Amino acid sequence: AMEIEPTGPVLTEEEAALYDRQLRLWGVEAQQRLGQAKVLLIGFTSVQAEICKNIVLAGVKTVTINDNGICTLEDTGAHLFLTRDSIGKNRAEASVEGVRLLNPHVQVSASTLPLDQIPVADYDLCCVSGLPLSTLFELNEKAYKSNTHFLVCDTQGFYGYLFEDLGDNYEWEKEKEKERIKAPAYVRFASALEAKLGARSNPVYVALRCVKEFWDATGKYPTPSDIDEVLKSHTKLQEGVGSFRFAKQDFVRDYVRNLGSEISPVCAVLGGVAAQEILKIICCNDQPFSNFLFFNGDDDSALVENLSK
Amino acid sequence: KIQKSKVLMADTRLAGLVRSLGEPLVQKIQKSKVLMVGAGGIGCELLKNLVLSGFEDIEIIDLDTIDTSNLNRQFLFQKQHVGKPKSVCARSAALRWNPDAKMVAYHDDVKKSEFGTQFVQQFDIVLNALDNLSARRHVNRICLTANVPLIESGSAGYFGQVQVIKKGVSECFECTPTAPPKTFPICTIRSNPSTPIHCIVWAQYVFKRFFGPPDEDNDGDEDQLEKRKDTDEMTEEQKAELAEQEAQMSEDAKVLEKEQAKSYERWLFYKLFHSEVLYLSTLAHLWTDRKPPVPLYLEEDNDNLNANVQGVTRQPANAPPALIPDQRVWGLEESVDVFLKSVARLHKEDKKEKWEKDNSLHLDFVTAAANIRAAVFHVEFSSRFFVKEKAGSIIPAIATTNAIIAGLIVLKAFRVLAGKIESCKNTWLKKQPTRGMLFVGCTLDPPSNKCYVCGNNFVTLKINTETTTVKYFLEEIVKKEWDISAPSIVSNTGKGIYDPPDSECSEDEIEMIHNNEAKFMKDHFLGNDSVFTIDDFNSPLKITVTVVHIDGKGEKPYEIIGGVVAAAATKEAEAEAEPEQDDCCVILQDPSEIAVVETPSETKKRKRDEDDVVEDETETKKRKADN
Repeated sequence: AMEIEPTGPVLTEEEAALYDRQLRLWGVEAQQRLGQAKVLLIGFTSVQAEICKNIVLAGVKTVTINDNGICTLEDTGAHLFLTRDSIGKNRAEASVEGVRLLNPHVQVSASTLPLDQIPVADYDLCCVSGLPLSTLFELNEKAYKSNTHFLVCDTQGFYGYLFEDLGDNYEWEKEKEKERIKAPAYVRFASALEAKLGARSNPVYVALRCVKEFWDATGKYPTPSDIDEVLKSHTKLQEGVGSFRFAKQDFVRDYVRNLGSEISPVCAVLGGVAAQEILKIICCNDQPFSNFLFFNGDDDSALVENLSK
Repeated sequence: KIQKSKVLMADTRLAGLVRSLGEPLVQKIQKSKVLMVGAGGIGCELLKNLVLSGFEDIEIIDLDTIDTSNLNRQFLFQKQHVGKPKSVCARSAALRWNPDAKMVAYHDDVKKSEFGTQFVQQFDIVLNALDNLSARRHVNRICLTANVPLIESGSAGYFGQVQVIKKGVSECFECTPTAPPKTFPICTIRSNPSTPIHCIVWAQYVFKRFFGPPDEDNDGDEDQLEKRKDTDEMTEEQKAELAEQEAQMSEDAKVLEKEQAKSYERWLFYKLFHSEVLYLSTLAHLWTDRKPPVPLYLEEDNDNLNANVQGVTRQPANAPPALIPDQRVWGLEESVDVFLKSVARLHKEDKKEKWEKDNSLHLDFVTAAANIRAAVFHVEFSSRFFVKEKAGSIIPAIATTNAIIAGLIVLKAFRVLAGKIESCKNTWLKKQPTRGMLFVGCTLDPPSNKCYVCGNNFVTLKINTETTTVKYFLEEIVKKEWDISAPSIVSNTGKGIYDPPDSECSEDEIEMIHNNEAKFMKDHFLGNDSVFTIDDFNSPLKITVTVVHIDGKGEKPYEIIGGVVAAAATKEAEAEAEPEQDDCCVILQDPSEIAVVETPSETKKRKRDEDDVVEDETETKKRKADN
């Protein structure tokens, strides 16, 4: 896993020319750190495809795309790398050529390993998307044990969230001051989904909690047809709090209607934010978010909140 | 005739979009005609989002070609596309997501008249993905005239913003003046530099003066140094000082002649770094608080810096190790060497080209000259990398910022097309969240009634431009219909079309005005699709006119569409919007290169996202005070 290390291999002339406009923003040292980073992306959803595009363009060392799913027609709706020709093929394998074209300096590979066999410890950072909750929790534990940074990024139509777990010892440097700052310890995703709710709880978070309740009861994610069950969960959660100011029932209805949808601009926004976090985490050059970011396409808001049990 | 909508088919890639947006809106999207202006950083991301969101009828305008430095973010392009037009390559790449999409690419300048009001009126929405102020202003005005909604955007580094513009509903792009470009007093650049940037600006000025294209504004290569005082007003002491100065300068002139005989580059070196510096060093009042500049000269027998030169720093102090070659800072001797070699080459090639940051010879010259200047004035040296950025007005750029901005543009476009423009917000992207907010949103402000652009009356004049004279237009329409007795007419591109004759005009000028009045409209910039502003000297009235040519065979010789009411914009407001530039100022960067308006300062009056903010007492007080 990544610590603040001395600068890596010298940039070639070609890389200096290619990365010119970003070197002028984050500096050559940060670029060298990016050039040492090994990133694992599990679950090649449309938002993950956007994340992938962004980190490959930035010039990380390697990207492994793991996905066991077969591409469907609907998968091609908002996806950068899956087109009509990809239908019926493994999503990672169908995408890998297109990803490589973005930046020949990055090693990109497709993986179809089952989730319990993925060598998470081999990577500096792992971002997962579109996976069942139980799998998320397991992967999170694995990542934590091997000191691999762990992110979850998911969209549901107009809504989405990013979650970060950078372990117990994350440090970053304030650029000009060269002062090392230790971030407070991060919590696991499972714990983050058990935070105490309040009247002002973020609506996307509350909806996520309703989804978790459904999951706990059925072992599956809800679909739009499960609206009644989900609303029951909402009512129950609200009782504990009195009244939600933002996470009203109408919001949850909209959220449920959006389940299973992928909308390109939402994937672009959240994928951009998530990728920028990933680059920042690798470079250790600014404060990472702690620990959730919620995107709400109703009002184009992106809210960062720290939530844990 | 009922066409079966593609969206109605259950088996479609847009099923998710339909569930989220609803079928009517998705159908509307599929039928909407979109104009995207700019196919660069924001444009590539935006085009991708548009095609993936179901837009099928898109036109793209961009005058640029692809450069290697674009490839870190303009992901529709690869190495093999370098040199090719952006609009064409972007269109071609975007087809992968919908091969049936109808896209038209123009490798052209949006400011051309063929992209004027009539062109823009075909579109349901215009999306800007530009990188310069002048094109943004132009598109803003065309969209106001055409009454088409515009979504404006910009990005720089980690920051960006999206602005929704609709005539009558929101502020236009020019309602709030943008921050003026950074300028420096000319005396600082010419006599008294104290930072590396002053030296870089000076070096660019020297390049322009000796190697650039001939310029109408050229003050020749006059040495516009401080004027000497009138000797009548001098004390004896001052007269003695002046005599000493003159003696020194006359010696210097002799050496300069000798250098000229040796080579052009030695002559230029001596002129810039000895003669001019010697003169400046005699102006004691400039150097009361700092070391005076040190004149430099070369060895007689070779082109090295003379060993006798003292009191200048020859090596960069505390330079961090260069991680890339261009970041290595040259010392004085190396700069002298590069200076002489590049001047020799520039002089020999005599191309008289405009300075370009990507031209290695141009950049070498400016870096070398700036560093020698820096040594002379005891200022830090700069690396080639730094000089390229400052002299070339490079704005650092990354993919993620553009991806976020482009995503926000499309989300707002959905709202505009759904008829909900009033509920749109303008959004600013920050690097770090404050009070938990990574994006700052503001509801739309209404148009400013002082805006000299959208505070205008907008009319369309349908008239036979081939048979109607300018005089007729002025008498019958401008004076009688619009009651403007002393009209001043300026085209949308800033060109003067007409001013009334006055007592200060010469006979020739009056004759020219009369000749112009006798011409047919189409022969004097008032033809079909011309757009111009008419100002009245005697009242605050201001009108923006678009001309549409008609044969005029009907009863009425002309038709005016749109009413004219007493002006909202006053002359005062216009003067406020364009502050007069101090004569002594030199502009550092081309003002058209400003990419993004900075996040609104705390003092700007605006509405805040109330729901998301928990204000503490001090904030409430501050907010009330600001309002």
